[in-house]
This record gives sequence, structure tokens and C-alpha cells, in this order.
Amino acid sequence: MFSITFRQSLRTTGSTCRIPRLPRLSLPIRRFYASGSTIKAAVHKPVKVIGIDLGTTNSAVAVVEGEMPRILENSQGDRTTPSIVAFTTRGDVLVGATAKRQAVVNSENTFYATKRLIGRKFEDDEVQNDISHLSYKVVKHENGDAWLQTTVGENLSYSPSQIGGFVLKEMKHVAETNLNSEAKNAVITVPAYFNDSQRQATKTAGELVGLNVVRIVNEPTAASLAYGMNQKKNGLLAVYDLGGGTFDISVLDIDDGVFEVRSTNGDTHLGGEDFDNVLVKYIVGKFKDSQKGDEDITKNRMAMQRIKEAAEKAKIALSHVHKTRIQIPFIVKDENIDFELAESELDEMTMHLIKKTMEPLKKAISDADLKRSDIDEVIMVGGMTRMPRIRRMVGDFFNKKPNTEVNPDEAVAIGAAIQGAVLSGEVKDVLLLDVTPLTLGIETYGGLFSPLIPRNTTVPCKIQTTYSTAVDGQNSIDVNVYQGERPLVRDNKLIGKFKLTDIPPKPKGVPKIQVSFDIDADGIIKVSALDKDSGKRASITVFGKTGMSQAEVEQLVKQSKKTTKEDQMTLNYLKHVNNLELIVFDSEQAINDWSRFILEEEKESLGRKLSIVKRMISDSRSGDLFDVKLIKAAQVELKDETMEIIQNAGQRSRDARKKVQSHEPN
Amino acid sequence: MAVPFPDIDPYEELGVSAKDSPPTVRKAYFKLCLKYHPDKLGKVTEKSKGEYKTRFERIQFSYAILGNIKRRKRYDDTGSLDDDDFLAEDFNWKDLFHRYNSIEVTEEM
Repeated sequence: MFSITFRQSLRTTGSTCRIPRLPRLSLPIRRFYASGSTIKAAVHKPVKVIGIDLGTTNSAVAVVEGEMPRILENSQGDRTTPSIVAFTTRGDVLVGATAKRQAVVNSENTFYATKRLIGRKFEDDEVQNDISHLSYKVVKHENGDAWLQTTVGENLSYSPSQIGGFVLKEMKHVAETNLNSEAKNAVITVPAYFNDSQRQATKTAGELVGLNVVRIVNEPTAASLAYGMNQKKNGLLAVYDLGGGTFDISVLDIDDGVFEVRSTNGDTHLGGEDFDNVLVKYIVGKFKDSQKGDEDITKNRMAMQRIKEAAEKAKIALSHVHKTRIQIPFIVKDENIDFELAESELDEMTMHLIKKTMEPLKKAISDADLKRSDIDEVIMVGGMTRMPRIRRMVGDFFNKKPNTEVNPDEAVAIGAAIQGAVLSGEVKDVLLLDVTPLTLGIETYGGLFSPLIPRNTTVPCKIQTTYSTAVDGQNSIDVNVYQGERPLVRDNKLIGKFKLTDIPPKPKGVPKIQVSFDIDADGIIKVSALDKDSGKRASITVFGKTGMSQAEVEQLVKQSKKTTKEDQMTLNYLKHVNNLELIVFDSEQAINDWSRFILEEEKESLGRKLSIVKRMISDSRSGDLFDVKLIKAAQVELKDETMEIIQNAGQRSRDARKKVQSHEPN
Repeated sequence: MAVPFPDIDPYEELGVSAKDSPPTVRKAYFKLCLKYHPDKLGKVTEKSKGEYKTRFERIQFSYAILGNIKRRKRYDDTGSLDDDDFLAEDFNWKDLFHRYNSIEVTEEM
């Protein structure tokens, strides 16, 4: 066990964080502080906290300004950004729409839906099941986690946290461009049914890119905030959240600004991706039925990527129309895909997925000690809830039409921003009381799971339990901590193995070690131990955990610092390129103005130079050219040549005027 | 499992009486949360944060008892702060056995 698991030695004392504070990255604010006299003013102003919805397929960022939350648009003017990260052979990292656009030609290095892999082991059933659908390679990292492998560099591999980090960095950038200031503090959302490892891995993703993650909030809870801030209504609310990769159901009690989560349930591996996969399979089957050639289309990455995109498009279309056409010309050689798909067909083939949400729904209601009819309002969040069949089913279940006032794509980010403003003190009289979604417990004799903190307990919460020794002179105790609802530990998720060491040698049963299990407001678990006799903190070692070691995190932060430097260089370079473009405009303007006095050969020579320079500019902007010296030289050369031509032209114009004057009669 | 605050009077802690209805108890709990919840301590000095933390834990513990109909009844009847379900009169032993009986026996075990 010791040799194969990845060791993470960390000492937990009292309530310190599991991951020690990381060095922060970009620093204008620190410089601001360092300047001395302004410190006071800076402290009193509430620190802005942005809210990021890190989704499986799309992400969004929002902020509260003057008590009004708003979504921030990216540079393309979109309110959401695809959670897609691509690596090119040139070494570029693309995020968002640009990454999505090139997915067909670079499918092995285009990473999508990685949230379904975050905080998971390679051997997990869900991971193994996904591998067959994914266009990229999933590998087993040395600690057993699922990582992603590229074909660039020397087959560089990345953890899902790092990919999430790239997306978060992009969202941070979107916020900074909009707010015109540094965005350092963030609330990040996760599916309510995420376990400790998945939450921890998401937090790490933020820390890797220099974000101070002030809170991890559950997505349906965030959505309820977006709804509640708007409506100011009290009552029982059910949030049905079916996104790209995960399903959550939460039941909340809203009472004068206090949002108390009564229960939560879900499936962290059920969402739009699964619907797409069903449809892809259907399209492939349909094609094979009429295929003339013998190529196995499932082995053709580009064709499969095109089918996937067509499937997603058709699925979205069928939320608005009853019939759509799936058309993919020249899918292989001279064969096409072209057929009509009806909404009812899609409903039928995905019915097993829709039905999968019913069980968690029932459990959440009964865990909240409620009947379906007690629910006052139902809201639906996540892109998949646009599917009419799903809306109908949820409506039938509660015997109530779902409220459509919240935007399914934006409510989560809006809610995250509101929680950010609550934490910064900007919004008062609002409080979230969230719960832990899974029962926390330890392994007892025979592999039985012994619960310590039941699911749906309000967080933060703490429980203490006393351990003793079973043998005379025993100096250490092993405690295995699990999360889950099954009676046997092997069916639940191992959160960590703790070893209480340095227990003074005494007869069995005499030492009393008090162990505290804390679940903080992020839903992340901390364990600490105290030897009751000596009053000393007992040593705890954690291992076998999912996630990254401190050293790994630091290494990656260093790397990302370097990328920040690289970003800075790119930015500088692009400034030079912009300057060069200005010179081009000036030159063109001048040639126009002085056209009469410029020789044809001069025009030609300058025209040639201008077209070369324009190529250099567009190549620089697309990333094909990076050469500061060249750009600077071009600036000088172009400026000089234009000046010379203008001077010549000036001379000619003066000469011409003289000539005219000398011919004029007095 | 140890009871963290063995001497606590949950009614006193939440400022309610034994006659108060569940909605009244909940309202009182929410009011206290708005004041003592860790998210609401922006203006509290570092020194008193520890006090607030303990106070909030006491509030949580009190509401865990009074907010649950069964546990509240047991406290009213016996004064027990324990949360051990096995002690409850209506504990469903059949359910428990069923839970363990449903475990599939395989060779591994």
C-alpha cells in the first residue's frame, strides 16, 4: 500500500487549512499595498469577489456591483465560455471558443468535459466508462488519479485540475478586462453532490492560477440565491440542476434572507454529455446501416468529432423544434450522413437517462422530511433542462409548472457572485446554510462503514470521537475515512487514511485519543487529533488521497508564474505590433495625400514593403510570428522609407510650385 | 460519540421555550445564524472570533436537537442530548437488519 499510493504528508493542527497558503501570482495590488500610506483606505473598501461557474461544458463569471449581480462578457461578447482547453503543436494553449473551433482537426489535444474526471481515480467505473467516448487519452497518474495525455511536447500530461485551472484563468481574465482591475478573490461553484476529493481538486485548480478561492459553493444553492435575491419570496424551493456532466437536486427553505438547504442529492456523472453520447451512438448505427464502404467510422477521430458536434447541435435544436435534420457531408470519402430526427425519437432513446434523475429527486424530498406537494416553487438550472421532455417530467413529479424566471446558463455564476458579495460584506442580511451531501464515516471491524456525520448536516460542522488502543503498548492507530451511503466501506469513497502515531505505550484501552472531524463551509474535510492525557496534538499522516502533493502544487504554481511572464511578453510584443500597424496606416495615408508627387517606382517599393509588413502583423496576431527584433526593425525601416519618400515628394512639390511661379508673369 | 456540550440547555441557547412551535424555533435559529455564522463575522475582532465560533457550534448543536421532531421529543421526555438513533424507541431494527442483509456475499469476503 505504501509503495503504490502517493504520500502526502501533512500535519493537521486545529483548524488550519489542508493546503497551506500559496504564493500569489500577479501583483499590482501588492505593489499598491507596499506603497504605504494607502493601506488604510484599501482595507476599508470591501474586496471584490467574483463568482465563477466552472461548468462541464460552459463556464461563466459574474460580479455584484451596487448590490446588482451581472454576468461579465468575454472578449467575443459571449456570456458563457466553453470549458475547453486545447494544446497546439506550436506550444500554444487555447481556451474557450478558439479551442472549440479547432477541435475537429486537433481532437487528441482538445480537452472537454474534464470536470467529469476531476478528483477521480483512473480505475473508477465512471472514468473507465468515459474513456471509450473521449477523443483524448486518459492515463493513470502515479498516485492513481485520472490524468489527461496530450500528443504535444513529449506527450505532456495534465491533471484535470490543471485543465480546470486554464479555464479559471480565462474567466479571471474576462473579469479583469471587464472590471479594469485585478480579480484575485473568487467563489467557485461545484455540483452539490461532489465529494471531498472533487471539491479539493476544484479548489486546487483555482489556487494553481493564483486565485484566492474564498468559498466553494454548491451549484443548486448558488442558483437558489440568484432566484431568491430576485423574488424575495419565502418558502420551500426545489432546484433541479441538470448540466453538461452532473445532476443535482436540492431542497431549500428560504426565510427572510436565510437560505437553508434541507437536503441535497444527485449523480456526479449524469448530464448533457451522456445525452450526446447516446445520440452519437445512434447516428453511427444509422450510418453503418447504409454504409457502402467498409471503413470503421468509430476509428476515425475527425469523423467522430464531427458526429459529436452534429449530435450536440441536433439535441439543442430539438428543444425548440419538433424535427431537425442531421447532415454531415463527406463523413468518409464520398459518403454522407443525412437523415431527419424527431423530438420524440430523442426522448425515447434518452428516457433511461431522464428516469435516472427520479431516484435522487425522491430521496431529496424524503430526506427533507417533506412531501412533493409541500414544495412551493421549482426552478430548473443547467442547459439540459431546456429539453421539453425533462421539463414535463419534473412538472408532473411536483404537479407544478417549473418557474422559468432564472436563466439556466447564468443563474449559478450569478449566485456565486452574490455569495462572494455576502462574504465580502457588500451584501448583508443574506446567509447560506448549506449541507454536506454525503455521509462521513470511518471503517470499523470487518469493513463495515460506521457513520460519523450524516448527509444533509449543515456545514460548517464538527464531530469529536475518542479512540483507544486494542493491544497493550500499541503506539499507533489507523483510521480510514470514507464518504458515501453504502453499508460497506468498499462501496464508498475513500477520503483519506489517517495514522495516529506516537501514542505513549500503555495498557490497552488506556490511551484516549480525541479525533475531531471538521467539515468546513466548502464541504472539505479536516481531521485533527488530541491525546487527552498529555493534551498534546497527536500526529496524523494522510495518504492514499486523490489530488496533488504540496510539492506538485508548488511546482505547477511556479510553472504558471512562468506562463504569466510569458503572457506579459506576448502582451508587450502585441503592443509593438500595434505600433507597427499605426505606422502602416500613417504611410498609407501619406502616399494617398502626396500621390501626385510620388514616383511610380517609389510607390511600388513602398507598396511591396507595406504588404510584407501587413503579413507580419497578421501572423503576429495569429501567433505564427513572435520576433520583437523583427517588428522593431520593421517599424524603423518603414518609418524611414516613408519619411524619405515624403521628403522627396515635398521637394518635388516645392520645385513644381517654383516652376509655376517662375512662369507666371509679374 | 461524545456529546460536545453535555450541560447545554438547547431552549435557552436558542432563546425559545418548550411550548414554541417548530417554525418559531427555526426563526430563532435563523436569527442567531445571521449573527454568529462564520460568514457573518466580517466586523468581529480576531480576539472574539473564537468565542463566536464556540457560540455558533452551540447554536448548531441546539438546533440539531430542537429542529428534529424525534430528537426534540426525546429531549423533552428524557433530557437526553444523545443523537444515537439506537436509543430511540421507534428505531426500526428491521430496517437495520435489512440494510446488512442486502449485502451481497461474494468470495472476496
